[in-house]
Amino acid sequence: MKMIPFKNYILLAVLIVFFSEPAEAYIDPATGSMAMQILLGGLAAAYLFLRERVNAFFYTIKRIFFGNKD
Amino acid sequence: MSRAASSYRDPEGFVSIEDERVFRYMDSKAYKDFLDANQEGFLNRLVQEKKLVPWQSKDIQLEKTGPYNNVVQLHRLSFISYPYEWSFQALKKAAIFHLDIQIEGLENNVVLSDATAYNVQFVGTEPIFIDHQSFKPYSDGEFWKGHGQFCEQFLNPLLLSAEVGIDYNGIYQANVDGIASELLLKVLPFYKKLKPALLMHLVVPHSMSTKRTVAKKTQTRKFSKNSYLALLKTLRSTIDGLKPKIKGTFWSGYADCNNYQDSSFQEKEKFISDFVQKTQPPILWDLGCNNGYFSILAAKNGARSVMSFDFDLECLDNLFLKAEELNLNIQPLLFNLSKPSPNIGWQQQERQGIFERRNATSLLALALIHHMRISSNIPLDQIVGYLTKLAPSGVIEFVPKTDSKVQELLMLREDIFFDYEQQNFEQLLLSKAKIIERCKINNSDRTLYWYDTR
Repeated sequence: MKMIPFKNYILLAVLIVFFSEPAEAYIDPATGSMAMQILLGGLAAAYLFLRERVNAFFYTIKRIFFGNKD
Repeated sequence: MSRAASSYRDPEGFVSIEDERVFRYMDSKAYKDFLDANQEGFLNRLVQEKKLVPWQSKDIQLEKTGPYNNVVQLHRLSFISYPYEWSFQALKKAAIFHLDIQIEGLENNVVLSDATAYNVQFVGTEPIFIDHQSFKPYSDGEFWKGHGQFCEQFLNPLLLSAEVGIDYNGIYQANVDGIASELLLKVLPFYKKLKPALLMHLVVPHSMSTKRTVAKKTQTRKFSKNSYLALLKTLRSTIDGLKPKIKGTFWSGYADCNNYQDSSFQEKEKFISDFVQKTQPPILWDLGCNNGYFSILAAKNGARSVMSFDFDLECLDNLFLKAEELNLNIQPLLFNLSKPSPNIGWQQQERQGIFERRNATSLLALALIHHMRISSNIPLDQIVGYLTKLAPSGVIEFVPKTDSKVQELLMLREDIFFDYEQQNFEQLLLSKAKIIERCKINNSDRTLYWYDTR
């Protein structure tokens, strides 16, 4: 999946917040949910992946400096 | 066969209540999905962990109707509560519970077909799932169909409370289906909308809800299981981090300065403990429970389950956490006696009023009726009539006009409450019930009455 660069993400966020249109009542609210999953579904997975990597990195650093206590 | 009024949405099956027993009727497709979802024993495990209501399909002598030729009998819960009666901590716990079932389910190739909060119930402070027909086998590439509903029924109300400081209960009750994203977006401060989780679950879905071209793409695109799981897990951690805005309501500090000296309070405690020990109530309703001191006392003295009602959500939240910590079978719920939960929803039968759901064998109405009479202007005969109809036995505390708490209520208004006299109260109570015991509290003007209508 193609990643959105961080600064573009912020720009996109601001644009969406500013230019949100009101929803039409006769449209199923699930439409927006589906669209979000297509657009941003990969972001959550990427975030979890990165978080795991960052945690693993700090865990390694901690082990180097303080030894393996746990 | 009497189809439950709330069970009309899914054409593949419905719930029916017959002679106090609960059955689920399913057509062949729904039943096959149910069996497939349990192929690896996932649903059995949920039952063992008390996360799903037990079911059984043996020896059911029922007439099968039309396409609904598969019936299972479900364990009946003694009380059905609604999300608009839950305080923040309860709704948050239900939301996390729902996501945990979905995460565990997806790891076992099982998904939920919807995300309605009404499918979660509570036994004490422990959530339990009640809809067996929601479980479906996972199809490769499918989207999370219940996302929009999850947001409206769980996430948005929690955000309204945590991010804006507005209690969701009244709006939730009026809309029945939760809090619409549109409403939340109107009241959220701009900078809060930029939070990644809110952008993802609120702003983007809402802004895309009219984009038909994008919607069409969902028919051809696939959603990876990895992304589906990540969506659930990140949403779980977002909800886990939500806290109600601390308000310090008047009532949350009320009991700490109540009107008893230590010895008098012990006398009141003893009377309530005796009542509970002697009657061993299966279901006790504590009305106007405040911080839940007497709910806890009752639960510790033999009340098998306690339903604790108050209109102060902060008191309910504190009690929810306390009951959880002490592992007591206490369920705190919102109930404003002058504005009880009504019959509401489709045909005004979908969600029942609180009086229609009454199941108490006993009640406690301690330091309550002076508020009903003076603050809510309810005539005394109606108060006595209502309380004695709510439960066949109980303890009612009479707080006379000479008490300083009543004096405070009367301070800025004319005393038009001529019926609010102890002698009149006793006569009214005797017209509805026997008085088993009464206890005039020493060093106070208050009296406790143990009544029984049987």
